[in-house]
Amino acid sequence: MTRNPVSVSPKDTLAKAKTLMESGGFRRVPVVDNGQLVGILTDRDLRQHLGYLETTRVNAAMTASPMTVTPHSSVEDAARLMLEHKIGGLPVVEGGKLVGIVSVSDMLRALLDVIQAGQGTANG
Amino acid sequence: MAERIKPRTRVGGAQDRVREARKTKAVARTAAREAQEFRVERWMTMPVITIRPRDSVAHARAILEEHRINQLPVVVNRRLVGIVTDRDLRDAPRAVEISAKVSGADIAPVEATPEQIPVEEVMTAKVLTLAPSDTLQQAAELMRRERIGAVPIVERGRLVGILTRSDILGAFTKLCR
Repeated sequence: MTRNPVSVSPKDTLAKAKTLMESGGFRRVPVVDNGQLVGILTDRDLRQHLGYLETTRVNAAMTASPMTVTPHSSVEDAARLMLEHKIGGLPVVEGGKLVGIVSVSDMLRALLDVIQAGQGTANG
Repeated sequence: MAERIKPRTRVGGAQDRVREARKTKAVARTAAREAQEFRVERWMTMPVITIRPRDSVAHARAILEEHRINQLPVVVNRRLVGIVTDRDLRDAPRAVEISAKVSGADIAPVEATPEQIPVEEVMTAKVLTLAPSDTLQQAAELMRRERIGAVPIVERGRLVGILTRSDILGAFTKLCR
């Protein structure tokens, strides 16, 4: 997962969120208020408010109370959630605090590392 | 994985040899079937949602939105000629404006609307592809190396499927049971 991910506030404008997401190259961003995860905003949400980005706040476009995983969740559980709900990433929370975000790419990378490590020892 | 079982030689051991030969064949069949499980063709999405080169950026965006996908192979009949991603489409008007400036066009650059821009102007023509018999591992490595989210699967120049990161993730979760 990516630790200490970039986040936005519910009161930020969608325009500000869009700039953040584009410069960082991410398709989703967690929404944090007073240190608590309150929602998630995706590029799909932005597209649905096209033309009104300067005048709409994040809290009007985000998904509130999003699905999350913990740092101890299994890759399999995280994968199943993402596949079932057709989402590309999940916020990771511990003790109510946002500690990271995990994406489909992160998990594929982890799986590849495991496979390649296994092949290394088999051939080495 | 297939094991080489050596038929035991025994006095009057013909029946043993037949049994061993049958076992070897069964193991080989299982290994072949398992190898099949790791091939791209087992997990790719078919049919593929595609677009034509002269279709507009606006039309492409609408398709991505409706089907909740992030990329569209561009085809002529079933021949793959390019690919457009959500990012290519998002940056489209700016990209077209910039290339007009670069080519030294005489007219002041006017931002073209998404309905006016054909996808062929923003697509990537050199597409990274795989064959149906390639493996999930090869696909995962390609995606990581090239930072792409999906690979069109091509056979004899024709698009036969598409494999996405999610498809690979789904495959691994089912295979690692």
